[in-house]
Amino acid sequence: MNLGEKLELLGGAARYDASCASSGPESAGVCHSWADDGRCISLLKVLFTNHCLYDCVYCANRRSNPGKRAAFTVKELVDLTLDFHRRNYIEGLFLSSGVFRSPDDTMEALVAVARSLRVDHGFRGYIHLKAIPGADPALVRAAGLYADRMSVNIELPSRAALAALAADKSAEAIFAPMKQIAGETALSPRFVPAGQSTQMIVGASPETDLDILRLSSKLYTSYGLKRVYYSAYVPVNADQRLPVAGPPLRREHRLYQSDWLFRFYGFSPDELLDPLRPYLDHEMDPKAAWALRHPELFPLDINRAPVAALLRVPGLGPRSLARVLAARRQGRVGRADLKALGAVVRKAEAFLSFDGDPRSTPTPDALRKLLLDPAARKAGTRGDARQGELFS
Amino acid sequence: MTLVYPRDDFQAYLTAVLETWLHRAPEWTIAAESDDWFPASGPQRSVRADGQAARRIAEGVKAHAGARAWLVLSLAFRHADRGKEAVLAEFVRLCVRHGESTLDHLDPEVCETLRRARAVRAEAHRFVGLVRFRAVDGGWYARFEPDHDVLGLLVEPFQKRMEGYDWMLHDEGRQAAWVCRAGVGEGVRGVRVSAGPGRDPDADVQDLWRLYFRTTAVPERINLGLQRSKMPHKTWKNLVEKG
Repeated sequence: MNLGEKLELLGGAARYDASCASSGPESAGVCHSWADDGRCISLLKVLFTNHCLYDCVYCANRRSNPGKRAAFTVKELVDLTLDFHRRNYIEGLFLSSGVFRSPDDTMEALVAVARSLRVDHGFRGYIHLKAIPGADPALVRAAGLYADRMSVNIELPSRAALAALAADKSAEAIFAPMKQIAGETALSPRFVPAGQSTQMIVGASPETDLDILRLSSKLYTSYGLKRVYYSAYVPVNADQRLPVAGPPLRREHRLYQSDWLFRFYGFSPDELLDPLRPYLDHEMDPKAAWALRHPELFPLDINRAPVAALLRVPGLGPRSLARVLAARRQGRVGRADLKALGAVVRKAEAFLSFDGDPRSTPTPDALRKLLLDPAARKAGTRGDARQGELFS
Repeated sequence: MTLVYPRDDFQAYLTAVLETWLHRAPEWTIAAESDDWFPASGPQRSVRADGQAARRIAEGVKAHAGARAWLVLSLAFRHADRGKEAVLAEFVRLCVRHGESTLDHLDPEVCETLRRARAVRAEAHRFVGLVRFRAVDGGWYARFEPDHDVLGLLVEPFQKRMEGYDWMLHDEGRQAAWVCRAGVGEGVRGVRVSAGPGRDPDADVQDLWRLYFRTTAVPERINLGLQRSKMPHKTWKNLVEKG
């Protein structure tokens, strides 16, 4: 098999891995291209090999699947990375692999690629390596000294799902390297300086959004993860243990928005959802949905309200809020200033007052329509009423 | 009176700003030289860059409003908008008036200057990723066509990436380039480059990149609208994967 055929096979096999950002101290989120699916291409994302010992039900590379198998040599992969990086096609390498022969053999191959790039070629681009569950901790440690970021895929959002769909894998084997990486990162700034991340498949098993967000929240706090990635299940194998269709992509999008809310806006999963309503609203972003359920907290006076409360106003983010705070130190902020401050006026103004100026805002029904995503909003109609009706 | 300065020459622009101040003539306008747009009437005078005059404005802005305000002004000047000169001159005046809190104020000129600075910074960040180098005789060459004058902002990131190589980054629209030989770089104006005949020596690597680009998209999630919103059509001609 020539290099092009290997690239096609092993690049295609890696495309379902969502965690491919070049976040880090040096290369903060530079996208080098956008693929036909609209996703940012920042790294050369490939598998070292698609040979695999495991037979995970949802995976295109499962042992029992027929089809071509291939493996790069270390030199092929190193040369390809250098060629692409020098031409500024990529920021670096994202290297994962099927598990061939053993977890140790697989991890060793990944380390060999990273070592050759860093030591033999002085490569200063970004390297993201997968930690292979079950590999010797010494190999994971070696990988962490060459990689900017490492990740261990948690695969599925519950032990039950893992047992049902990835019986060769165990939660213990997944969490062991995650724990090791968290510990080593805390001890040495040279060890995976951009931290670790993980990914889970959403919609291949029956967990609710609340289950998933609670798990993510625990992962952030227990293992100091930098990112949790959510990958909407795409059916690539026919198997009666799997749903026939994947979830709507909007579900994945809402999970990312919620994840953002508890990392940067101070929300907890249990504020966004509860056991009686365990799924996110697909028609509206989760912050807007939360605000709509809490009319007792609004409107907030933009010139007096505390920062933490204003951060929860739909249409205001950390950056626009920083500008609001700076501007209100110099004088009064008025309704007309919202746009210049970078707020999403359509959303924000209904939840704010301006020195006791509660101008007319929509009724609860009309407000919901106003907060809907553009596609959902097109289907609705607008109405007007006094703000007092909404917040009384 | 209209003071006319060479387009994209920040020092000359600042020299013109100082002249309006020294002559206590806020009604004077400042305009860039251009082939197709020029103040239609009234007296005009050319202004050339005067390093000392430009430094006076720079030091004044930094002393009154701080280094960040100066950075915002320098970025905003790179914006392609015609007619930006009056807004930026007023921003300089506001820097003196508001002092360190200038950027916190909501004067239209402050907001406009910040908006332009953000647009320039965003485009520079985008092109850090969207520039494509190719091997040419003895070095590396990349061309691109930004809206704003961001060439100077890309020098630092590419100096790191191309360390040890000779390279040239070429803003085709402005016919300007940054040329780096043996680690020493300089800006050059009036640059035109045409492709030579025959097969591109970089073609094999380019083919692999195109192959990877096609392969990496998830077929079930094709979203060409999103792709185009992130990577506008006008950038495609210089992108190996789309050109």
